[in-house]
Amino acid sequence: MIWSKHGLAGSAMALILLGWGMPCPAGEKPAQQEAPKESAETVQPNTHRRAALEARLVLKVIRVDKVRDVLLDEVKRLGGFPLLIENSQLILKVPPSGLTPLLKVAADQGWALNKSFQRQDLDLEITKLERRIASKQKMLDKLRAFFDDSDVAATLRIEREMVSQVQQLESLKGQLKLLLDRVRWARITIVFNFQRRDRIVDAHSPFEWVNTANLNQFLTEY
Amino acid sequence: MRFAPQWISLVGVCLFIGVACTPPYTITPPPSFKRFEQSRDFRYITADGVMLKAREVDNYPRGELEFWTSALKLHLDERGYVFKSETCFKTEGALDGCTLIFLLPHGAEDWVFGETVYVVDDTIYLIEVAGPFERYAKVADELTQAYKTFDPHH
Repeated sequence: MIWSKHGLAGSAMALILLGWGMPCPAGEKPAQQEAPKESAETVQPNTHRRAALEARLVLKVIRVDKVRDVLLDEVKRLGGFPLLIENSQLILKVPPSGLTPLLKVAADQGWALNKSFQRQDLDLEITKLERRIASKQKMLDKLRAFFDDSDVAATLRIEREMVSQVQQLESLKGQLKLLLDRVRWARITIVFNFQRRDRIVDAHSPFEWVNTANLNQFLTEY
Repeated sequence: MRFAPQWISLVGVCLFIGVACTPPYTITPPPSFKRFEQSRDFRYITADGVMLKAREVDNYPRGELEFWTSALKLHLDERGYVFKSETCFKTEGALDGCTLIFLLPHGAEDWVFGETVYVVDDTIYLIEVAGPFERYAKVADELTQAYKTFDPHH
């Protein structure tokens, strides 16, 4: 196969560029591929860390329906929305600033138990994705430039590679959107009943009477 | 007037039974609770099944209220009971008491199990309550007031 001068050069250049953009298996990415051709200003550390906030609590209340309405109203007031509404649980999303106020309102409705709070720093992950997206975008722009000087065969080859690059780019954008969504919305799961029914276990106290203080013994002796 | 020996014995037995049948403490039961009359022990129940009872155990090894509430809390926590609250208070007779409230799954329901502890010399007095959460919550305030009326006879 004989390629024209421009076609050969274009394809070669395209392949070199594509090599940079190909995803590597986790843990095998060489350092120079981490952030290709990044200028100093793009690696400035963020002063504001982007993080995903999640909270979960078991909330015991007498009237679940009434409390559910109160919580949904509060979520709306805080600018959030419900993700899941069930008789036994609610999954709510609110802006991060609304997490603490919503938890407080929830706790005021009954007995707040088994509270857990999680903050996951996503800043590094987001930054990496943003850089990879920017890098792929630049690469696509360069590939487009080769169209003008390429023959038909080279054009087809570049086009195929561009399609592949666009697919990867869209996938990365999807991942980024997901992470940014997790940063934008704090997620709160409120369950109205214990979900693990097998949590009661045997344990022995060195003090004899303490071993007799439990629900089973109470019911047996009542 | 002379009493026949058999009458004296009978009165003695009755007095003994009377003393023996009386718990060594008094407590004003919460208004929503009714007593199990056939039981000599302090046992009360609400119409919807929240159960209340009292018992005594030896204060051995001898410990203070704080010691026993800590031991109880730790033990039930290890067993998987979910600790809700610890409320310490003084009774109307200035006796220290502490109420520990736990939640736990029981069958298909979530139940409350509460232990109120008083320590008087060699005796630990326990007032225990149990019932489904929704039913317990309705009488929680009454119970808190009742615990303050506890008075040991000594």
